[in-house]
Amino acid sequence: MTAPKCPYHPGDQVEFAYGEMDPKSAEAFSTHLESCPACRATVSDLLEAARLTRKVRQAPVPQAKRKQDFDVSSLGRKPAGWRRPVFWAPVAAAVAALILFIVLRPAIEPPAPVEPPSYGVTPPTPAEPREKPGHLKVEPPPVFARVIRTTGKVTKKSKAETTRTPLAANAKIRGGDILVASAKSTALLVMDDQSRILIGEKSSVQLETLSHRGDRLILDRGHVTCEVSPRQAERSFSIVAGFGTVRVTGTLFAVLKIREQQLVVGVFKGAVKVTRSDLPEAGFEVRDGEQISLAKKKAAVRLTALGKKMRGLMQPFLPGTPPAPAKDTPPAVEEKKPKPQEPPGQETKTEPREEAPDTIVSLVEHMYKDTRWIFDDLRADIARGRWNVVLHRLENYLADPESPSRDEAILLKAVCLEKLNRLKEAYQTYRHYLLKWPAGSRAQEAKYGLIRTRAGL
Amino acid sequence: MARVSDDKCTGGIRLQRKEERDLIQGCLEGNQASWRQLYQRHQGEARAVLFRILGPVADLDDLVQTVFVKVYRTLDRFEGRSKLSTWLYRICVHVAMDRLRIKKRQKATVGLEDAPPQADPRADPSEVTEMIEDILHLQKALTRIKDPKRTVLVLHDLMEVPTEEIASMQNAPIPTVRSRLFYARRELARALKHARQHTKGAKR
Repeated sequence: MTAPKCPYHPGDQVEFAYGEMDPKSAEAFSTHLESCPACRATVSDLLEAARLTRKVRQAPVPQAKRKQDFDVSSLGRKPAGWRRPVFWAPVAAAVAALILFIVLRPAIEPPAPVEPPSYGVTPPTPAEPREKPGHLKVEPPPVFARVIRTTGKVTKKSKAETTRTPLAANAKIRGGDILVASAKSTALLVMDDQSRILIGEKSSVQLETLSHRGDRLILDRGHVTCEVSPRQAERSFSIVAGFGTVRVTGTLFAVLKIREQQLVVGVFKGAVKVTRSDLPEAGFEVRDGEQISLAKKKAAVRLTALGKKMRGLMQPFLPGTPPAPAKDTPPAVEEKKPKPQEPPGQETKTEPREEAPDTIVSLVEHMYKDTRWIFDDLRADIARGRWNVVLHRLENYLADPESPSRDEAILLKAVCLEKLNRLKEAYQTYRHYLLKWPAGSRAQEAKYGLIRTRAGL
Repeated sequence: MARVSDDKCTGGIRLQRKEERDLIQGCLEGNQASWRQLYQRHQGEARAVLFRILGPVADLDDLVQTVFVKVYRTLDRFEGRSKLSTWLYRICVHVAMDRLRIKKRQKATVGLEDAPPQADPRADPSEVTEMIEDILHLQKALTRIKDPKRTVLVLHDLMEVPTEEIASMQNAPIPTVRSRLFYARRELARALKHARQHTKGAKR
């Protein structure tokens, strides 16, 4: 090894090769190179790299083949506000934008497509004429989806609009529209062939194409549950969720996208084929009762039985929809194995813990009596003992000052914190509850909680 | 962009920054004209970064659009620590590397029919071929370098962005950026050497 003898640092080799060394040092280094074969070999490789980068840097960049422009009116998500706003800027910009919009609109926007007056997706007329092959040969009318029900705050942004509008029940959804459901909000859509799409909370879905040739949804974030009616082979139904695509006909399934990194697809009925955009030739078929989990950075997939979480997402479409809240949750929580993250000390306190599941279930019932889908999510998480997730959901819920049943939510948060062994925070939350609602319906439980957590501190 | 000459020093840079900030403000407010202006100013730079990583691919125009769609979606996260163009370069690097990953299992990403127009139309075709080969070698080597280093290398060595600017974009100290550049250059040299040896082995 020549390294110990060589007085030069590898940084010198790089500087020399890239011509960043001062002339005097460079001269001394070039003299050294004559006597040091190791440095010479490394510098030779570095010189080649430097030559290549220089050559590529100097290569002429081709001009655009055609003159292009960037039209934001057809894009989905609008950026949020500038981080350092000036107080007068929003007003001035709004006025300027309005004037620009009025002036430029005829120039930049094509006229809105003429909407056929009598054709829609009204459920009582399940698109009989379109089933006939003859009708498919002529130019078919555009396909719409119809909003059946919304809960919470769901907004819509169409191609022609620059602002989001609240989504109303019975509203028409066209291809290109983007629906965004905020926390504790859902939207249920029905298509012309009675296929149903449930947009879950904190989800953003672009209904990119709705047509007789196929329906294509882009799941930007969150989850979407679909029940696709059996349909003609030429009309596909696909969901693009980041790096994965789900194609399907006649089935009930849910797609959950987790922070651009993970994709979970669960199938309750029928079968779907899931493909990766980076590996389109390989598809994974998922049959009923199965779920597949794909990670962006891993080629391996995990095919398992349909989990509770995914079942929970599909609950609204299952027969006998209204869920019996106490049906399976208390035993599931009771029978759950001790979770590894919980310290052993937790298990010894059996007496107070016995009360927790009942408390939780009834709390959840009260909190989410109107929003069944979210209730199912939370219940599934409680049943799985995913207290971190429950806590996260509750924090989001409580972040909105308008959320109903705040007292129930705060007490449930305290229970979660206690479960997570964050006793100090749990104690403070119980205390907060008692200070705010000293005679509240859950005051007794909060007192017990306070005593328990104080003992543990 | 109406570049302010260096002799106007800090005042000029400040003016340039203010102009850029106003443009971003307009974009964030959904002003179509601001977006057009932003696109016209920076599409050439975006094209250059993509070209220097990917070569003359057929869908270069589409990739430029992809970059600006990403800019559209994430502009609110731009904190103004670095110049907008530097931030945009980083997006270009990510878009280019995503494109490489997607096309990894497909055939060559570069075709001679997509070669860039030369200044001299009677330019030697062998030079064009050589340039494409160089880009392909660089492209392969870049896929072997991991991200913070790769971005530094592309920005510094291919786009001539100063280390200070990269440091402010990456929110890292200047010595860290220099260190990343040093390791990236070494890895590039090794990757190219490896590729050469591999090619020689294959020819035998």
